[in-house]
Amino acid sequence: MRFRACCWLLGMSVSTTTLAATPVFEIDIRDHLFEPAELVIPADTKVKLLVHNLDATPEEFESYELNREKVIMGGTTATIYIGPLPPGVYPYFGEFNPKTAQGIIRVQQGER
Amino acid sequence: MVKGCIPLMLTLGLLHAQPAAAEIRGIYHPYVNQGERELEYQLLWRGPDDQPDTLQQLSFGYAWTDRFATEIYLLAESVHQQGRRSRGYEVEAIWQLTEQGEYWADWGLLVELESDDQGKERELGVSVLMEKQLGRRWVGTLNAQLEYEFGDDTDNEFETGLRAQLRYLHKPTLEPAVDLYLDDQDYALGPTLIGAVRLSPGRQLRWELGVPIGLKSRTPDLGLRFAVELEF
Repeated sequence: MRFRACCWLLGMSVSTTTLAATPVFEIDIRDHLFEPAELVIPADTKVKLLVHNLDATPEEFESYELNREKVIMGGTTATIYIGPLPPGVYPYFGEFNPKTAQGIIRVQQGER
Repeated sequence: MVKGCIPLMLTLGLLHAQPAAAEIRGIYHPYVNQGERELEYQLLWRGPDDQPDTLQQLSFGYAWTDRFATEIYLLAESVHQQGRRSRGYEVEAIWQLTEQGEYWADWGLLVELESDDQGKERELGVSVLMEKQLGRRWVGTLNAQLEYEFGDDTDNEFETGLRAQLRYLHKPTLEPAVDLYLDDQDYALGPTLIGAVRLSPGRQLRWELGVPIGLKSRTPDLGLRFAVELEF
């Protein structure tokens, strides 16, 4: 019983530390556009990106530069982990509406 | 399967009697994209030696959720000089266990059930799928498999296998990689080229061309693996 309690406490501790250490950023998909179209995140830091698809139709967040590909069904939110990345500009687009759904992740030193 | 965005797959097909060639059918990646459909054809030729061998497979996959997908395969194998042809079917399932980039590595689980068309040779396999991005340009993938063979025409036994790939993210249309296959029948290593061409929004064609080279006497010296997949 004491062992289980220790494991639980350890698990909670690790989980809380991880959550606290991962900055969260949010992007909306509305009318097949990403909002904001440019997002600035800190360099050398893993971030958690919450992408809310406010449209009724699915969209796919895709970026070869970020090595990410994630379908977000209409009216749902997807979680995408990015980084740690060196400073630079990382484009992404919506696979289902590539002409309108475009954005960039700008990675900068010291940004938060 | 070419890219491996299917977490849970259900495979139904025509399967060869000897599973050796079927083990060299590409590397699985631990990812699923909800709603994605895949239609794939794959050809594996093994030789040259006294018994060149050809395996063909046709598969259809569908990702039901963002963690789970299913796929149907049709497979057929022929051993040319013996004039032997064999068929069977297979069921596969893959689960995406973690979000990409969430932890140190990305994890998935693959379950495979194979049977020849007579139901006399069957295999049930479970594989742990792991993928890790190494810096900005390299991606390493491992498939560690535990398999149980059973049936009237085979010894009931456990077997293990390992598949690995090191891939360089050069550009979407061309990614060089090295594939490694280790199991009870094959030790093979060789270069693979991977690419994808976008056809229209939400639709693309993926391809792979690999040359597995045998590393031990029981493995054919040279092979050629070609896969083309329509993703829609």
